[in-house]
Amino acid sequence: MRILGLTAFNRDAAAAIVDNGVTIAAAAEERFTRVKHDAAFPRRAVRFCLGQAGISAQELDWVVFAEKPSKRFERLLAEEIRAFPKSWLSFPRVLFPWFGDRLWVRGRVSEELGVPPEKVLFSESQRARAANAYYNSPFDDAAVLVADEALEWAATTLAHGKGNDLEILAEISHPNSLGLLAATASERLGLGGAEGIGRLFALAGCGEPRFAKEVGSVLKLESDGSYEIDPALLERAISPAREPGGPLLWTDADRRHADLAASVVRVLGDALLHVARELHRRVPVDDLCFGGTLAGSADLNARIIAEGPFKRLFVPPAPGDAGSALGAALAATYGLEKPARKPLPHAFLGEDVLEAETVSGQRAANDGEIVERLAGTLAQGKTAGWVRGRFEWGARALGHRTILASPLREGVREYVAASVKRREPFLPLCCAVPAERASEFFDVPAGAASASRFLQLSTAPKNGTKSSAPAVLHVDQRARPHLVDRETDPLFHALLVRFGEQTGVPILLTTSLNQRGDPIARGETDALAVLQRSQLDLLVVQDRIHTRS
Amino acid sequence: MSLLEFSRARAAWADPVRKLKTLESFARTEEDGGRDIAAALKVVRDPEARKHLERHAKDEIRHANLFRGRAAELRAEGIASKDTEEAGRAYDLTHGKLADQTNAHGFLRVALADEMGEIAYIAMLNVAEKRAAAMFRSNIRHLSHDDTTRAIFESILKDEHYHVAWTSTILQRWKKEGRGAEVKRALSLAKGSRFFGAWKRLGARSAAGFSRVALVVIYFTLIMPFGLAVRGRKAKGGWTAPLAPRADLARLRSQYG
Repeated sequence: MRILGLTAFNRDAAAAIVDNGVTIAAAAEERFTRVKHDAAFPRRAVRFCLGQAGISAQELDWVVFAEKPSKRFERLLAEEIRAFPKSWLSFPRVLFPWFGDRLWVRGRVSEELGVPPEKVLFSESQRARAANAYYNSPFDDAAVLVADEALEWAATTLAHGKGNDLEILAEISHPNSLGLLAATASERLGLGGAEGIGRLFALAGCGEPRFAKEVGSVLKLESDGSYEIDPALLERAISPAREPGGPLLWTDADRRHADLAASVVRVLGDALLHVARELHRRVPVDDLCFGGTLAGSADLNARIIAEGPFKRLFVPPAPGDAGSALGAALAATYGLEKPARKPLPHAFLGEDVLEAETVSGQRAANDGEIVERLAGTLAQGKTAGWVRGRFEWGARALGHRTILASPLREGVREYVAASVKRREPFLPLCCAVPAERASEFFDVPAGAASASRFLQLSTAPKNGTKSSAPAVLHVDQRARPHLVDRETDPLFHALLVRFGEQTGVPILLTTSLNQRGDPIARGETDALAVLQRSQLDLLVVQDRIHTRS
Repeated sequence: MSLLEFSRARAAWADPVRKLKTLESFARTEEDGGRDIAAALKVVRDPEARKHLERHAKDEIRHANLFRGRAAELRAEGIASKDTEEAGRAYDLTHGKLADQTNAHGFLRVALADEMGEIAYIAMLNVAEKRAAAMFRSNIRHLSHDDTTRAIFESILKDEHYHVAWTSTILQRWKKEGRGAEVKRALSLAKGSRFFGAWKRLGARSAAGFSRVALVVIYFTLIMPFGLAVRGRKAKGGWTAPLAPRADLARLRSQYG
């Protein structure tokens, strides 16, 4: 059974195709249109997925949209009515698009893809996120937690996954939404609202939660494991609001904004732990699958595994909006049939490298030469970009569209941020380490290996690492390690081993191959643009080696 | 440029969110144009036109990158489009391309030149580029407060002048070669089709404006009693049971439950 899942009109429109439980392809629309967080109908992503599966839209069994549009419309209408009469300006702005085609998504999908309307299905967005978290995990009996903004009503969802069955147990509804709380805080701090939640998490790493009491007053933790939120109080706690583009206070002179962000993240962590304990009471198992936008925070994930009741944690590579496209396809697959579970082995579900039309650069003879050239360049303290194979699913660069640097000397992080990425220095870099040697350098919790394979966990480096590879440490003295398996990515593993042979430390700094505000590179043309616009020293695209000169 | 267009341009560049959306829309238009021109290379036979088309296609892609880069800088400053829910709506005429015209990579399968023929295609380019040059000149006047964006438009305007010049030269040459009637008809059609496109856009935007006014009227008539009835009531908190614990076909078919 071939099922196409898609999500659109919110943020991060995406498409994914699943064939009898096996994920064939998945990609966000932004990679093709080059518009960050593109919300438009994912035409290009759909066409890529169909092309990758080698079928036409007419050969699909089902198309699943990751939202119940009528239910979401009901929620928006109720919200506007509840805010009467203050909502008189927002009412036409919010509801107008719905009378265009949003209420008739079935027709839109059918028209865009050329499939009969009866083949178009709808999954609740929270169910899609839960399915994305559970069915991709290696666990057979797991509790599932989803924390996000609310698209329909549900904002926080508890579920139980067992075998190929996923049961939704309970929900907390809008406006009591932890995702909304994070988005409001991001808006008040001028970080771009819901699209800036990632920057909010990063900024939090540079601050101390000294406003946790004031921010915490917005949240009331109930004895039944639920919570209530008063977002109006948050507006008071983060006041005055920072204008986008205005000075951001996060350095030693004044850390007010970073401290506010840290306080918000502390409060979010408290609430998630409270909910996780209730989930464990209802589903007393060792394994937790965590999905939704908040699962994109490596620090929150680390706190859940360190302080929560679960022993093992899995977070999918795209836990938020884009991931719901894959989740919707999986929810329908296992809801309609019961094929055997197939955990996601890797995140390389995107498009293969599109080579630039203009032939330049020199060709490497084999993989060994590429590894040698990269390791040598990086050991000299230079930076390199690496593009190969299919691009990653999700926002993390896992070695296929990645900027690499040596972590052996201090100041590298700042150099990469300023001269290569051209972005704010408070955004964290990650690091890659061979999975079998991770415990030598990092305190990776025993149950967090799955999350670390998709770069979803921050952890403390060991004392020796702080001196041997100082640049792996973020401002908060934590690291975000990516555990690289020999089996799933032998070439990246070989590079780490070779770099280790040359320098004594098999760790490389990694970050996505893009610059400030751009989506991650899709093919060679985008990668060459980064090379031209930055101080990157070397770029390897498949077997082609480009240098700055 | 009409007074209406002048006011719209001024409003668009003064508001950071509209500026971002306009830049992204320009990037899409330029990129689509670049791809279309690249595809036209396979159809246009005239060697001189082909040489110019090749450079023209590269210019359009470069313009798209410049607009997109500037939009990315604005996004990185925290400026975000507030009405993402409007994205991708069917009646958005900037997305009016038919789905089956593009391949898996979003490139055009059928070049416009294939449908229109060589002369009509170059005439269409000539009219479009003249219009774009006028629009960019106007935009530069509204960007005195934003040196970075203005510099981008100034750089692009130079290319637009070249695009107008080469298309005019080719059309003049074809006229001299005895194809004057064809060229004249093609230019008239190109101007007419732009007028018809503008008429359709005006219709769509007017309808959108009227709809919003109608929604305000609905708000203060149909919605008001419900608003007054629930005024001050707090949303229910705590755990609720889901409507459907498991996904089955009947539930999946529904847009609601």
